[in-house]
Amino acid sequence: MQTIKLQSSDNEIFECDLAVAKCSATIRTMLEDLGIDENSEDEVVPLPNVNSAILRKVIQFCTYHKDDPVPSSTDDDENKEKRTDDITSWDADFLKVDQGTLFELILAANYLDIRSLLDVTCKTVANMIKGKTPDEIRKTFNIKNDFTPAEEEQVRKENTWCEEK
Amino acid sequence: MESEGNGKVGIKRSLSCSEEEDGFLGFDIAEQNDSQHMIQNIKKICTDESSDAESSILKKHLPNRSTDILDPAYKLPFRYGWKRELVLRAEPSMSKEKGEVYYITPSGKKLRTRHEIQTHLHDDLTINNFTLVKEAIGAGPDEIIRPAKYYNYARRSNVDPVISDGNQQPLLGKRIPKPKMRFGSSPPPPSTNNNNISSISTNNSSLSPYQSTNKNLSRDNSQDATKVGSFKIKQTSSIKSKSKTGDARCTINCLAALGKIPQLQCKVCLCLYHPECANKTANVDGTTFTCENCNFKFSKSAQNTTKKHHQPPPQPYNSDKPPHNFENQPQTLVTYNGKKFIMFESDESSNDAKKIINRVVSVQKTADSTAKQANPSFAQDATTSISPFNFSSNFLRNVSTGFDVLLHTFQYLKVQELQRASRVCRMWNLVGNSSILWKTVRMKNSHVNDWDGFVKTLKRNGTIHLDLRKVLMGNQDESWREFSDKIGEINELQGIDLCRCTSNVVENLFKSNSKLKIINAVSLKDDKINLESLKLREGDTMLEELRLRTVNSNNLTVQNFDILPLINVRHLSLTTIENLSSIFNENNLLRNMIALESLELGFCEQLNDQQIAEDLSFLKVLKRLRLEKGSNNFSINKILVSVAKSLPNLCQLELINCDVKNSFVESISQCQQLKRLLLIPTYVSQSAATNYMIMQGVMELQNLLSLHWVVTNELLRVTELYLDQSDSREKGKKSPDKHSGLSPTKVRDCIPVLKPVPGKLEEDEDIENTANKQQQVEIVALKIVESILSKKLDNTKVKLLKIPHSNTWKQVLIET
Repeated sequence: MQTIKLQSSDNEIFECDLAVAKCSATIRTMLEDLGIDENSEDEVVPLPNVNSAILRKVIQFCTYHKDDPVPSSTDDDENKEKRTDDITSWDADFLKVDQGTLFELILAANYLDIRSLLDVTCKTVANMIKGKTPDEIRKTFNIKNDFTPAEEEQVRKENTWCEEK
Repeated sequence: MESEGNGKVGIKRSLSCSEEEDGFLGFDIAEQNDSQHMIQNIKKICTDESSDAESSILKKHLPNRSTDILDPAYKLPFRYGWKRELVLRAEPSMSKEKGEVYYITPSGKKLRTRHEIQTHLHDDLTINNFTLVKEAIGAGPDEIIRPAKYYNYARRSNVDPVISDGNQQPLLGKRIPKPKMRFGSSPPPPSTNNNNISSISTNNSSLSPYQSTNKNLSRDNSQDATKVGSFKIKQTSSIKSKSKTGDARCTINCLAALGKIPQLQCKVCLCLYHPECANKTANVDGTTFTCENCNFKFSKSAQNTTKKHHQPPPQPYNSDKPPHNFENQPQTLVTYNGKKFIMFESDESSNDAKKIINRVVSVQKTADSTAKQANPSFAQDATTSISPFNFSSNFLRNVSTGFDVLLHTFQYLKVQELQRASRVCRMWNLVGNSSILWKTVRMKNSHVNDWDGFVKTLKRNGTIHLDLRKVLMGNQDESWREFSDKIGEINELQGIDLCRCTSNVVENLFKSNSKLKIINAVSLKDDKINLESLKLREGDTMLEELRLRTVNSNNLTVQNFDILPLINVRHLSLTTIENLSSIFNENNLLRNMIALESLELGFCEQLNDQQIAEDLSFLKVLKRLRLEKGSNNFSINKILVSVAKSLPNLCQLELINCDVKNSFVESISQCQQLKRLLLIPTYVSQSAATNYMIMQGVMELQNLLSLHWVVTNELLRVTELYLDQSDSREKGKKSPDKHSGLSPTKVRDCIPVLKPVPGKLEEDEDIENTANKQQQVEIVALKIVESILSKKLDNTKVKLLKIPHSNTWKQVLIET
């Protein structure tokens, strides 16, 4: 099994399978476009935007999902309704982390371009938003309400034409 | 310059049993910020040493403090990535408090009070896992100990350690008693700091029990320091051997001290050296060692900077502009799995990293122009490795990422959830009104109570597709009327899915929304629809998709279908149209729809099979064909022959409730272009023959990827009855096992197949023949049929399904 070394922002070096690392489109392009020799022992891929704690989790995720089929992204797919109730139990367990870690994972998934991780983390955040009032959402994510009272009333009016039953 | 050295030498001094223990308080706070890794480098030492020194001070102020700071519970937060920071007052004598304790959450938030900590607890952490006791709790690298302001030190400092030889008497400030050797302990060997640590930890016999455990810990650690384990995570550069020029720092690979972690620290640059490599024996006592590089620098600068105690250090750790002779970053000692490792960046590897990063940056520039602003800091990040969580330095990139992620997250929200999210704050409002989120609006399980607001929002956000399937309409008729009145305002609308509405809603749509290309109306409540209004469309926008179906498959009469602009239609579904024959049989409507990719037709029994077969041959791009109710006079064989000859793109065929007649095998076997096949044959009579033909026919389709063969529950029940009868007839005879060792009464899901069963293995037949030769029909379990077909069709996913006849029309193949 071919391996590759990844270096986190705090200079920790992780050795992982090439197949695992290639879950990241960023690393994949880096290897392809830059012609980094995959066989070279000393080649280290620096990942300056991911710290070691998060990189460890990302590698854990990719190791588990490395054999997943690559989803085809056709137009049909884009038009499909997006669900949030299809998170597998392994993923759900994996994402039982505090908000800070969750958002760091999202940032890492975004930077490393790992579609499946980005999707499942965003789904998790979406589930945190669902079923909450605006005020509850603010509390959950520690967001400041920066509307003026007039604006807030206007926004409320604009956004209450629909209800779920 | 000198003052910079002071702090570090101070540490060394205290480590080597010097009398001036609070010398380490001399760190400059600014320098601290710039060189976190430097602190980390020595923090282990600091932890041990300070807890000794501090506790003695603490005992004076807080004699009754009973908290056991070594309680393992206090270590728990560090497993979750918490950090603890102990900031020591520069002048302990000036204040009752010795310093401040902060906790830093895994996300980087600094907490000062128990109350704050309380709000950030997670997992199984409780407030009892935290202590604000102003002492080091020995958490290793997760505990940062740093002194407060620098200026106090300079004024107060009694010793100038840079020039001191360790014998000077303090002049000012707090004096710590000179550490004494414990009785019987051997004097510290002068050569390594390692031993110095152990020696200091054995001084001062008046220590409380926990403090002595602390010392033991430190001694253990210092012994650990000599262990060098092999580990997967290793610093690449640690393998590099040092060269005389450039990188002169020591590694475990130094020939003179192979395998040892260098312990001798240069007081100026904090790099670690082996005493053996430093070529010094006399001058090396661990307190005043200056490496060759720094000696050079120091001797030069000392002339200019004498008495300038306040001058900041020469910033050897600011990698942006490393001064000459200071390019060496100190090695970092890391503890991993209880073993110590020495890490440092060699020039080569950092250059490599820079090169790669620069290349990455250039690639990213071309790939993503928005990443531009972030690039400088991006490159800097990699080389400095300061705090991994530095929001402000990458502010624009972080904001942009946050926006993207929020947008991505909002895609998972339904309309009403999206609306609530839009009310959270301005930023969310902006993201929530992004047109990409409103391109397709789905109203499933939602209720619109204000159509004005609905129309206004959809219009503003440029909705082009509206999906009203399973929408909740309170007062149906009134709601639809209001909908019909207002929908015209969303003039960009191109596609609409309707459900359970009346025909006139569909008819009005053609008038009100001229850009509509896609109309799917399922579960229509009326039994007729007049498409006359389409005439008004003046051909500016051609219909691309049209699906009409009534609720519960009731019959629908379509009027004026022939005036539809159908030349561009790609998807057409007319499965419940009663008067389909009058539409398709009289003129050449079907053969003109040359853009057709998918076609669904119901009531095939009324159609002229010869004409349809001919018309179909014109639809060269047809990929998907579904025919329902092709029984009686309608022969699918004719269709199949035509399709096989002239439609090379047809890959999906659904035959629902069609009669399978003679020569089906010959017809279907010609359709080698098929990839997916759904078969629901009618089982009225001759079921065994039907099944026989299907089995033989599909076996010819070697290009098939998936085969779904649906048998009705009714057929299964009839077969079951037949089995029960024959079973009771055979009672008394001793031949219960005729189906692969299973008693017929236990086999529920069987179908009759005419003998000989196609594809069945010889030996099975032998058993069969002996069992009941007289019968022409064999009863075969579905599972066996499935396995026979799977064997014959290597690349095909074969599935046999059981469904009640009433639900057959609902079965649809979904492209995978």
